Amino acid sequence: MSAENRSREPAKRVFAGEIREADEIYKESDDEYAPSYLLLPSGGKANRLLIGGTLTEVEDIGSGDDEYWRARITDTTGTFLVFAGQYQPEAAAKLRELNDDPEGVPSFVTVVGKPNEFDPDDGDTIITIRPESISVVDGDTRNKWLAETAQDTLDRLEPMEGELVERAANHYGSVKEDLTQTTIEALETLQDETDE
Amino acid sequence: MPLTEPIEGVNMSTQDSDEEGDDSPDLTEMAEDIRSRISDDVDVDVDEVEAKLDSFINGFQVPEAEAERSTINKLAKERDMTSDELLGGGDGDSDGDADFVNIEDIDDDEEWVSVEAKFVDDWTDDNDSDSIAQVGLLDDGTDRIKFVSWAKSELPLLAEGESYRLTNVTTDYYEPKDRYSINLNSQTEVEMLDEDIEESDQDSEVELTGAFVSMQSGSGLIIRDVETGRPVQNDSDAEETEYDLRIKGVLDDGEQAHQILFNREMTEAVTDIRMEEAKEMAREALDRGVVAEEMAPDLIGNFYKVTGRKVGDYVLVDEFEEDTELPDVDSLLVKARSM
Repeated sequence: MSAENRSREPAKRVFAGEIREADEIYKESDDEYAPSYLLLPSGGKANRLLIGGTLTEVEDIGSGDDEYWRARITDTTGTFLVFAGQYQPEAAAKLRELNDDPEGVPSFVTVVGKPNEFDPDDGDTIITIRPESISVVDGDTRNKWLAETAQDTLDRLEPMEGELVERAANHYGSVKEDLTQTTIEALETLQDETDE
Repeated sequence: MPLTEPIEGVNMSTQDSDEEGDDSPDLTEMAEDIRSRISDDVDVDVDEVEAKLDSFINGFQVPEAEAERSTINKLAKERDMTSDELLGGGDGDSDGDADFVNIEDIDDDEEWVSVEAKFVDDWTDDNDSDSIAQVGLLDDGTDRIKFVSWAKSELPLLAEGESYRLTNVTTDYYEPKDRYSINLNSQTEVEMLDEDIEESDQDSEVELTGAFVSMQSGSGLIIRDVETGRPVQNDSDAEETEYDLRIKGVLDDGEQAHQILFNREMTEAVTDIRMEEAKEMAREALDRGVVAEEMAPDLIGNFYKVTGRKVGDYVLVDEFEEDTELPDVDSLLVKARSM
């Protein structure tokens, strides 16, 4: 497959609660340039993610002059970990800006990025986000993200069969009920907010 | 049990010896009644209906009304349809086939229709459901529509680029994405056409929604070669150049990443940065690039609804609005709770 034929991967909307359950990144072909996908517990795959929530913490955990930014973003179902270093200059610049801004934390943000496997010495694989862009957004946009993510998550959870559905079930076991519950809770927070 | 008591004024002639008796339902009559309620398009005969009724009523002691319902349901399931489709299908014509329609006129859910269209885009590889044999895009010259061919129906596979007459398909409306598609099912007839159906106007208006996730290079304050109109670099040896503003971006709805293009007018409107201001910014920074840098954060992360003409890989935006419309949260909750 030439680079021209490969079209840009869509950014899947996924809750932090679901990312927390995920730990499998795979490739569909042996081609060096083939995209890698995160196997989603709800039954799907994501090469790129669109995540959102409240930025609760920004810190430079790099050593010396090398900046390495870590950000924590919570979306009511859980917390995303975002890491931006020298290879993510735009995102790193944004985090630096938010760190320096007294109003930077807390704020609503959305992040477009790629899932990344992090294997700590002690403990299970966790999935972190390697950001392509980080944006500060308003409450309406954050609600919109939440609603779309709930809808897309339910759409992934609904089918009983399909290659990815089966693959996720085999790898993650039965997490559908938990994820459905997670989605319900997220929708309930949204309902509370939009009822005002 | 035959009636033994005479009723005043009523002529109680004896029963026909063929009938099973007053209290037993006449299965054939019931079957005929059911068959007449079923769409003409559907391949089912009275014997089959009667056999099923018999099984429910006599085999399993199911009451008549329930048996009728169950029979219809079973007949529908065996044909990959809903009961509504089984009963409501077709147009009542004596030829039994659903009316041919233009794709652009499809605006009703669960209708039987027929179309003549070209298979323009095959999406089967991107689909991982075992129950789907084929999925893709059909174009009949008036518009395009997604279609699904269900594996259970065992229909002949369509070849990309070929034109077909598809008789007796059902329409389907997917509310979350506000779009229609058609289902090729066990009642569908597939006939390849010799003629090549001309595709609908590529420049036709499309409406897209999604999150603006990326601003691509070639955005912001650009320079064009006046003679060719093409964007050029600073060191271009074009005789005459002029400035222009534009944004090349990606609007991503979670399923597809659409490339969109804002021309000068649209760029000024969506970023609130006019040409003069942009030139000023570039002059001060001695770098055209600052304009795109200034524009990007205002757009990325926002949701938009855009309409425009599709030209090549891009949709040229001629209308846009920020989209903060939420889907119906209450009905999503109802759906989630029932899962």
